[in-house]
Amino acid sequence: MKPAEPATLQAPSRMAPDGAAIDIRDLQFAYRTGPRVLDISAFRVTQGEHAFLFGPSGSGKTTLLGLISGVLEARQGSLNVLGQNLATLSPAARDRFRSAHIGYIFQMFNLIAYLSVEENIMLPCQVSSERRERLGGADPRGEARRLAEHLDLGPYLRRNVLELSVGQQQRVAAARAMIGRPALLIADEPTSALDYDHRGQFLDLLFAQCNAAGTTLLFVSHDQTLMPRFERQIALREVNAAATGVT
Amino acid sequence: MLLHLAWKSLLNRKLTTLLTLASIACSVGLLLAVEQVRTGARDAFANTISGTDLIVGGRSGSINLLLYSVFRIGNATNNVSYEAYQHFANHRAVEWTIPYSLGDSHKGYRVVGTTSAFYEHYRYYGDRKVLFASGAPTEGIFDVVLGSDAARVLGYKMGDKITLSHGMTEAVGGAAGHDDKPFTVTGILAKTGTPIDRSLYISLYGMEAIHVDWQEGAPPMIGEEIAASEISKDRLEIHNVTAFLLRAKRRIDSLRLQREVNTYAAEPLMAILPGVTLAELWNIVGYAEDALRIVSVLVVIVGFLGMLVAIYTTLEERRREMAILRAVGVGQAKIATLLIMESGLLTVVGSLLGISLVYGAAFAAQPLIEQHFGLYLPIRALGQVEYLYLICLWLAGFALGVVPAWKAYRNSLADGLSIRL
Repeated sequence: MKPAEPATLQAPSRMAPDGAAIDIRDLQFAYRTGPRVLDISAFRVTQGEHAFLFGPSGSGKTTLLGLISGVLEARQGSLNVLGQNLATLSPAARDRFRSAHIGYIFQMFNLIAYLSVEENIMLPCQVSSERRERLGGADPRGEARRLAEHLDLGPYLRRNVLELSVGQQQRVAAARAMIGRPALLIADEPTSALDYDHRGQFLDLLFAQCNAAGTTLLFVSHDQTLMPRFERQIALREVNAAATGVT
Repeated sequence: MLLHLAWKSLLNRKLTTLLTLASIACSVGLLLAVEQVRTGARDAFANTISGTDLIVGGRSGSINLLLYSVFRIGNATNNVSYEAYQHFANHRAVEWTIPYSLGDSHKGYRVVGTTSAFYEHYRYYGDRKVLFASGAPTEGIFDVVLGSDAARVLGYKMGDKITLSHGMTEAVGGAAGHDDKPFTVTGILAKTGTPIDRSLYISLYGMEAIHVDWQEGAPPMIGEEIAASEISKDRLEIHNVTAFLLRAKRRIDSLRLQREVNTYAAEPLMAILPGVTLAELWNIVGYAEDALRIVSVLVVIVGFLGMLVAIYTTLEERRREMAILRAVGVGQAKIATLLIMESGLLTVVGSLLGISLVYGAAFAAQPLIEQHFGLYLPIRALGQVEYLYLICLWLAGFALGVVPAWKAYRNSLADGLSIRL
């Protein structure tokens, strides 16, 4: 697999004035009927960083990602993502913000079954005009092809996504998350369905793409063998005072 | 974008989508077909006769008079004397009259004694005249003109000789027949799509001639028959007609004429306004029409519920899809819109299929129906009522989409970006 050429370094979609991709202060969160699941006094990820976030189940990972991506609403405290306080935005505005600036990769089953590989990759450009415009006039289809080439998916563009291996599917998900150079990429255990060799390759590709686009990476996993490859490691249990899980 | 997604998603569930489309197409098709048949039948019915101001006959029920004079159904109970007919035919306010003398038949087809006025003045479907496919109106006493159905079904050609029978029963061996006086086919009418096609036409003289030797409605005794060769027009005296159609010189006179007929002192007569009586008759038939319509509306409701079930049941397995869309930044409102679009698309495409189904079936079935039932169903473009139906259906389709949309909205609110497997 070819790494992205470092010469194509580009600015990410959004720069926070203070250089913080994620800046959380005094955030508390509880689901409507449940107990408090998050209580974070300070959490910061610097722009451009590759951060590894780990923690057992019950440590509040899913909730934290929901808040950062703007699907959940922070009612207390401040939650700044790329310099934007999400707590002050309406749900629709948070959706727009997410579609414009955040790429998201799930653990597995990332793809929409009724769309081709190419259409899956192009999806964010269809949802968000900002992402489309960031291609600088390039055709989303062409950009999807370019990303696919970088991720060794060239021959599969027209395929039905269900014909792809899990590793290929995750790479398609990465291409979709990265199209239009979002400033923040959230990867929620993207390698847990992959075998050891493919994990390493996937990480290489992800890093290369993030570096090329200047994208901040928030990588969530409980697989601590991957940890050394990241420049920053965060244990959620230490950040979240409301964590209930056991180590 | 959403429309594209909705379309792709439906295509992905081909079988369900096809079945749903089929059920919507069939139910919408049925609704439209009922509407077509209903208006078609009503049109055909109302247009059977036009240009006639009054129908006059012996006093009986108005619907009965309409049925036997125009639709050739049932029988007259009283005749109109020729004097009374002449009185009104020569009336100052009357433009023309068409006399009908009924009562005989040929192989189940009614025989109508009339005059050249019929070929000249009878109008249907607005201003359409009775035209000849071949031949010409009857001239001789024993000439007969065939309606197009009668000619086609019985397979008669110009010049064929046929015998008539008395009443509507099939007479065998001349007991109550007119076998001794055969008629020659001198004309065949063009298709009209009205009961005219199912009758045979002779002159009033012909009608009189076959009964000339009859006494009191019974066939002549042996030895008292009068041979056809001995009969000529000047030896015949027309005694009565069964009914006659009348056109007033000024339409405004028709009500006055109607009163005049109804109060005619010499004999009990009755005049009806064809339009009014047609409407009365249609009101009776109308109950069947309402029942048909109610059934077809119910079928449409069932079809739509099927669609609702089809979409709703897929929601559980589509939670992942929704979470992916949410992650890409599709708002919850748009997810809901997506589902409304799916049901809207199914409705629109389904009903368009239904429309083509109806017209396809109509074009295929029209000649068959005409052949077997002698009923000509005109195929017409969608009318106002149908467009109204379609608009209502489409609105209903989109509105029904709100149900799964609401469910999907709740699901995605609960799921966020977590994917439940």
